[in-house]
Amino acid sequence: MSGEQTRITEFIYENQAAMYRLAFSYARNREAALDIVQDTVVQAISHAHTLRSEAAVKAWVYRILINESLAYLRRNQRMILLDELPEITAPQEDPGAKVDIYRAVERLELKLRIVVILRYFEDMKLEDIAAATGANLNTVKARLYRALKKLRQELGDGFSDM
Amino acid sequence: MRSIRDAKEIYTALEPPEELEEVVRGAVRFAGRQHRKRRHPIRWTACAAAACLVLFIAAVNMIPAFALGLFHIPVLGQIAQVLTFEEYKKQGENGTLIVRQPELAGTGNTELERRINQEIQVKINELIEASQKEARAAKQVYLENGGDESDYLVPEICINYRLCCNNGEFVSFVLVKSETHASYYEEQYYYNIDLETGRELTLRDLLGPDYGEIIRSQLRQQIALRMEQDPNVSYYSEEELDTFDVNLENPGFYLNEAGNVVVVYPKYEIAPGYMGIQEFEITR
Repeated sequence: MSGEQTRITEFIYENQAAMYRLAFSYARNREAALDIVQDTVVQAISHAHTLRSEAAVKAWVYRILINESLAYLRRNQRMILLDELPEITAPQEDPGAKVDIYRAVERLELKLRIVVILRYFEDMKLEDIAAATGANLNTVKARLYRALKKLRQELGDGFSDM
Repeated sequence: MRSIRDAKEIYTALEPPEELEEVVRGAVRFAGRQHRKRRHPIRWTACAAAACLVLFIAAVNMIPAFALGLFHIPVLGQIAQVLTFEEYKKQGENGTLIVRQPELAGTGNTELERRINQEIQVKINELIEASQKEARAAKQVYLENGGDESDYLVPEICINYRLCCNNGEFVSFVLVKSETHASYYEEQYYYNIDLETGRELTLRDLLGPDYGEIIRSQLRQQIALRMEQDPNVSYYSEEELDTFDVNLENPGFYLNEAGNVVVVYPKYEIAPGYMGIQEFEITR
């Protein structure tokens, strides 16, 4: 294995759960999410030589993951519509507010949703989100802004984006 | 005050299924082996390795020149060739285009060459036009979403060919289009032309009237063998494929050096995406 392949493989082993969740947020289907992760691992390792050494591995792997997810969606457009949103379990002390927010994020259109997920659930920097989604920084900012505006409209006052 | 970060714990509460670990481990092993043994169909460094697609296959039956006998005696030593007609690179504002266009020559049948070469030209023009349209649309969407022109990542379109078979009886070659961009899309077209009759050379011509059953049974055997040899390899079951109306019996194909039919199933068609494009040599 080359140095890049080793770095990528280590990243994958450590972050496989996060990769699965991201794939799941696109496909909303367990088997499909597993397929997407599998495709991504093979693609990432066999194209390891295209990773520049100084580049962020996370953004690079996520970009492949997002491309594979989109390719999957394009291919299965009809089937996705039939799938349901995942079961979620709210923590006991939570009166539903967190679930409301989560549900609202899930209802966002795909482009906005992915930016919110990467920013707030994956704690990625805007620059890395740009690299991962293949959009430029201004696009990412614009999407995030639109997403927050929509969430505020839906969730009303008392909602903060921090 | 409620905040998005509160919802993070719900997001991260989604536990991946148990088999994820095994799936990932299998994929890592598979990729490691693939990397060493995979033979890229095209060695052309200007082409990005990503998303190389078989788009166009022309199998040229070379028998006619001989079959015409007295009326059309081929020049001794005449050899059909697939040559590079032209090669160029264009850098446009919507993308980079790299083309290596093939032409059929030396068959002793100018009418046949003219028709095939014109068909190649038309196909390449179509591909270029479609790609440019796609690229313009992609850029439009990018700009409309607040993207900055100077940061735009332009796509690279590459059209190339590969000679598969030239044995005096048949000539078979593949036109390949690959596209590298932030995301990619796939399209495949197959043409097999019998130049003697002016019809497409079909699987029935090459494998006989039972070609469907021949393909199915050889696929079954070869898939079983591949899965036995490598536990990380997987294919959809025949039942699944039939449910999804996958047309197993009429795939695209080319002829290999030995003159045998090689059927080609695009990525995702008969196996999970990580398996890539799938090829099977079919013997009579």
